[in-house]
Amino acid sequence: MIEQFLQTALEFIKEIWFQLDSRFDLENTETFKFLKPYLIQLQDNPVYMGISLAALFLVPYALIKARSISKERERKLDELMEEMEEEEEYDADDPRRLRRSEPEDDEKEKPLFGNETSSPYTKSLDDQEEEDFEAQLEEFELESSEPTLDKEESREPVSSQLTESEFDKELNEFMSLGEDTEFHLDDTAHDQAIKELQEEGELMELDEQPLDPFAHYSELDEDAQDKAIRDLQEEMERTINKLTEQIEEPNEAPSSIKDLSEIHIGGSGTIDDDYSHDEEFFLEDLPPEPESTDTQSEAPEQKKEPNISLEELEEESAPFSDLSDSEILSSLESEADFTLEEEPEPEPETAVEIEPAIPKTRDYEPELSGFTFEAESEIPPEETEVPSENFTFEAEPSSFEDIDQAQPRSADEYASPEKADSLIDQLKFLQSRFENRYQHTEQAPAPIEKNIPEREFTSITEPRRYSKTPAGLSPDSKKYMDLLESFVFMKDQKKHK
Amino acid sequence: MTSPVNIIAVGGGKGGIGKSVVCTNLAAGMALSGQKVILMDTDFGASNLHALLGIGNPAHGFQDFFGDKMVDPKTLLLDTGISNLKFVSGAGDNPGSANIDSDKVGTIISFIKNLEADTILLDLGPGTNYNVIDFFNISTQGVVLTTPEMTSIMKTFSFIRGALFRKISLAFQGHPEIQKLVDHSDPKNGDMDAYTTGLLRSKFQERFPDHIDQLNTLINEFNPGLVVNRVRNRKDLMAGDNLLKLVKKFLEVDITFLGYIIESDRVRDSIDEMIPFLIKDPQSKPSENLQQIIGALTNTDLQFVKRDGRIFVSKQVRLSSGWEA
Repeated sequence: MIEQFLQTALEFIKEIWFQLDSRFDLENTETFKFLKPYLIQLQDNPVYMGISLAALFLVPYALIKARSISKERERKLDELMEEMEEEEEYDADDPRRLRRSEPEDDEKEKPLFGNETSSPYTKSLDDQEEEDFEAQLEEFELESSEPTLDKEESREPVSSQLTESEFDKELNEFMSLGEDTEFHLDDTAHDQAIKELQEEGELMELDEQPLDPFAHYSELDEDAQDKAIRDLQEEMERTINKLTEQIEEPNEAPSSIKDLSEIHIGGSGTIDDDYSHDEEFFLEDLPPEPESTDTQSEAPEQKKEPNISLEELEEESAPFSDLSDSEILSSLESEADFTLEEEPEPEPETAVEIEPAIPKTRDYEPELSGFTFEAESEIPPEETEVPSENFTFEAEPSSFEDIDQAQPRSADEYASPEKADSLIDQLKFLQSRFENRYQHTEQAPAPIEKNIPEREFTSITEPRRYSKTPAGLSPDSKKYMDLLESFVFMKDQKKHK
Repeated sequence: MTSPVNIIAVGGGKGGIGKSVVCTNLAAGMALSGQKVILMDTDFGASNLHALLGIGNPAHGFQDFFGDKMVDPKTLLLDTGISNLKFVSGAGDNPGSANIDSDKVGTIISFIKNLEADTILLDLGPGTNYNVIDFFNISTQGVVLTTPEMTSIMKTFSFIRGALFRKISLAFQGHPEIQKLVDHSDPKNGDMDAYTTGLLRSKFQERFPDHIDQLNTLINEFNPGLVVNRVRNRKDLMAGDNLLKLVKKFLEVDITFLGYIIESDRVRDSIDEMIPFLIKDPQSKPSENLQQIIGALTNTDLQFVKRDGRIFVSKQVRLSSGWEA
């Protein structure tokens, strides 16, 4: 084997020498004449020949190998440096940064489209739950005191999450850097995933509601989404502010309850007033109007608002896992619509309106006059699925205690963190859906990439049959002799054996 | 079929195995060792020895025998530039010139036997044609050449068997029944079952018991030498050994292994330079191998040394060989 290798190497070298000699006439040079005896000796001695061949091949190989190792190390170093730079850029430019509520969360590495159950936002929420609630309220109060909306958006994870176009824009900018493929998203895959979602009907229901700010959710309407998200943020902030104010004035809540407890069930105006009071407190940050007679005059105009609040309350009472997207989004829509109407309302008023001062509600009598609850009070409380126009509470009290429970319930929704939690849960749910959608787009191209090479492979390569020829036999083997005999004699000439 | 001249025929069944090169170098070596040597190119129709010797446009050759003119045999002997070495060219091979009849072959054989020389070397053509084998069988020392490839081994075996059976056939020319046994040139009339010497012996034992001794003598006297050319390793030498075993097994002939010649580009370079490699570089490995072969053929120990462009030869005769130098 070694001899054969050496022989082959010799042939190769000789061929090279022949070519060089024929071109440059090396054999007549003085150098060659000087080296010729040594070369002859080299050729005659296998040991020298082997050593020279080994040196001939191993030395360049070693040089090339060393160079390749150094290059590989340099490349790894460059990659490491690039990764470090990417991490820096990620901290500065990554859209995920906007999804984080706390600045210290930027240090945590989270997969952009991972199927994590606790997103950075939810993590921050979990952390917040562990904190003191009062401290949290103070923090939110400080945030709400900040007038700039952009700053609030940058802090609120929901805005960055639901502003899909902004997100995509920043993501594309991030991807346009072309430095990392880990978070690579294909636009076509993205669109395809959106189409798939539409085909599945998850978003088609939203399209059917033209007033829904999320109706064009799939079309990436920046303005509508931004607006809706801002509304949600404002709603949350406003609710938290109210909670903060109520906490600061804890003695007034029982008074309102006390006032509400005085309302009689089944009365033509008491429950309506109670409800309208509650609803206004929630929806418009206005004190309730106890006088039902005044509200009847503008009932058609005001019907919409209680309907929305009813849905919201019904949905809030139900677990989120049982809610569909359309329900959640419709509730968010109602909230958003309502808050849009509320926007021009000055916030100082809300602080004043929290107090259950009945006379102040007269300022809003025209708005509340449209409420008519006389017929609706007859609806049995067991009926949970009623048209929104009927406007019945799910747990409409039939006794004072029930009223007492129901009334604090609506008050607790704003006086306790449950309301904020519910909103947060909604946002979490939407966030999870949002992430899942991107996750879907992220996984979509995978089977395409798998199928195409597979199909090409099967189409290009076809199995070819070949008859296996006898392997090279060693001349000292018996099989070689048998084979040789088989070549010498014909088939009918075997009797010589 | 004895001859006062030592005739060495170099043949082999397969073409391109180096017969002409080896024959030329054998002739050159023997000539340099002091023998009067005549090298003959009997590869009619594909002659090339004159090219190996660098003789361009040879004035005469075996083609002169095929014309109508009477030829002076001495004019055929060409100078080669190597002392003691003459050359008879087979050049001038026109299309179809290889198809010479038996009469012309006989004329050439007669010419060869009447030459005055110590050694006549015949470079045979490939194949097992009778025109080739007959020249091989007139030799006092036949040399079969092979290369380690299996195809060459096969053809060399066929050449040896053909030469042996042709020799037996010529020995029993007056016995047509025996001719049928050993001459397979006509399958319709021949007995194709006797394709080994063992089968032939059994046939002779049954049908011609009186000629069995003559048959055995012919077989025993048939003792060509074997040279394995283009050897690269020991495994290649095993191929030559396999040929010996094959011949012994099926032909019951003892072949003398004369030696081998290593594969080397020096040989090819010598061909390109039209100088025998033994002269060009007598101390190279192929030259050493060739010197051993010459020593085996002549029962001498030769050693060639080249200094300052001149070749010095030391020759030692093996007295115990019984070969009369």
